[in-house]
Amino acid sequence: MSIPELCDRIQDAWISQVISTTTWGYPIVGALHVLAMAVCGGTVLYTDLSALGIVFRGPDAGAAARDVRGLKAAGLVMVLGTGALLFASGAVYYYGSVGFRVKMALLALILLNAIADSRSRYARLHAGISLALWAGVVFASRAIAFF
Amino acid sequence: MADFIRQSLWFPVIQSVHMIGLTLLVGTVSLVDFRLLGIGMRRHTAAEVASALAAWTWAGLLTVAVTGPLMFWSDLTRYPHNPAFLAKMVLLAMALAGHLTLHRRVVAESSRKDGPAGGRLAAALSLVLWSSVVVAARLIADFDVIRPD
Repeated sequence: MSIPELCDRIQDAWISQVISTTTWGYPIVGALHVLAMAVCGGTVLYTDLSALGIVFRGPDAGAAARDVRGLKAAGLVMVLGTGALLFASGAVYYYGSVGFRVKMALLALILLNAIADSRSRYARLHAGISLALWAGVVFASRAIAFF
Repeated sequence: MADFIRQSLWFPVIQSVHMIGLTLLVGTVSLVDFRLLGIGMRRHTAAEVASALAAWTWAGLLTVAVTGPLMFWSDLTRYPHNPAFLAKMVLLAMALAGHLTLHRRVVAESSRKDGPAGGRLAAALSLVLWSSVVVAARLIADFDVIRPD
């Protein structure tokens, strides 16, 4: 099965149809997605600004990351879960969207940056890259509606 | 200028900046609320978390306060007829009023060891109000009575 065919099948699945064809399906999942993004963004800001020494200056910047680990994980699960549902509801469109592809590429870079960060001495550099990439994700998300 | 913003790619760019401002504002306020609820950031008091993030909370508020009216002004016929927008404005007024009064007092008192008795309640109220603002904001796109061309 090719990827476009797979997207077709995903889009026809029961759960996708519930989101795309009911009055409240898409608005509810979309609203939860944005809400999760705000919470997630807060924890990203907290950890990255701490690593950059901008908030909570101290010897143990890594402690800040541990401080919000649970919240960040919860936010990520919610944002990825609702995101996957939104994708499923219009898989064919999203697959073909330049904005969506750019967004996925940025998310992949965020993952790579986080992996590199855990093995690197340059915590500040990785924190700066992380903030820039997340801001890019927001722009790319909005662009999906246009491209 | 209003037509220019509405019809060009400036509109989604302003929307994106608005989203980032919203994330700064609601993201940082919700962290303080989670701390008041005893979720995460245990090494610091809620007052310490709030003061460390205060500049970012205000930067977020300033960002949405500039980009919001810019979008409103770019399409004056759209928003006053949109029920989600009207709900958002009411909720925003409530969230801001609560933030500057009850929330501020509760956070200031949290520097004491056990924190105020009403702290959790105030935090829960703040989370509900700000979440409602975000949800209403997202719903504006779904409740256009007059669709912009």
